[in-house]
Amino acid sequence: MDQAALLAEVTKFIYREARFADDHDYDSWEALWTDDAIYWIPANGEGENPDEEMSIVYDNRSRISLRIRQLHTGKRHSQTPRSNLRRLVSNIEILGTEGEDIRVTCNALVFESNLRGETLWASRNEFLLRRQGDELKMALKKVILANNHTALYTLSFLI
Amino acid sequence: MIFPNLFIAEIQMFVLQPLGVDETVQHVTALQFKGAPDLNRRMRQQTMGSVGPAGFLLADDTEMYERNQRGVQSRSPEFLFLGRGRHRERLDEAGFLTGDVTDEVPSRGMWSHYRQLMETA
Repeated sequence: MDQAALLAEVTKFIYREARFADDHDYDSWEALWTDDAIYWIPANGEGENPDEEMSIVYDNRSRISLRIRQLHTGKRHSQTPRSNLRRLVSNIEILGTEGEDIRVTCNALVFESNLRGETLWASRNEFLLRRQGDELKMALKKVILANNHTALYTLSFLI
Repeated sequence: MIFPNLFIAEIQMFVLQPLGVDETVQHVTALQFKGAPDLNRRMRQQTMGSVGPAGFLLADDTEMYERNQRGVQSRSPEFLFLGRGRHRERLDEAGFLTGDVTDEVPSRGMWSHYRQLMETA
């Protein structure tokens, strides 16, 4: 596959992931993950070693599933009513490929409107995408918030 | 809870930092013990899962704090009633004021102490 076609495929995947998250389409979003998935939102910087430091989110596959199940209970009070979300994703770059794995980086800007008011979330995201059969899956999504060294508002939607 | 703003829970500790009448930062981190790497890893994992901005518990708790704050700011009604269980307050064997688990003894105690400090300052 040439680089332009790969970038187009990766971009399509990332836009779809963003749409599922914006639309609170939890099950479609969950179906994007591999079995060995890690959903990681570091605190206080880029995130060096999640086993040695605190993160905002460091979910393995079963905890991702628990997160989705909690959102489905209707008792996730911080998402009742749900945040209205629109996000822009840009600067998508393929950093490298190795076998079935594709390492990708991009920027995201998420606008959130909820009972509190309006909040902007900016991040650099890293993805490890993996080709499984005909489709791509996410093995890692790392969301490095630009303000993760400061006190943050509640972050209970899928970012 | 160590008056006024240190809260040591089972596996984590919180420091409450008021910034204004309508803004408070809640700092949180996992408790860690010297020479207990496995226990420490578990406490970090459980802390990350439960508290923090995206935690399974605390995101909803802070949502309630914010809704309480908006309720208080509406000034209608003007006062909160903290009288639950006042009729059954009693001293325990050690001489501490106590009540039933659903009573507002701690809230009354904290606010009367706060008032005393503010009035003598």
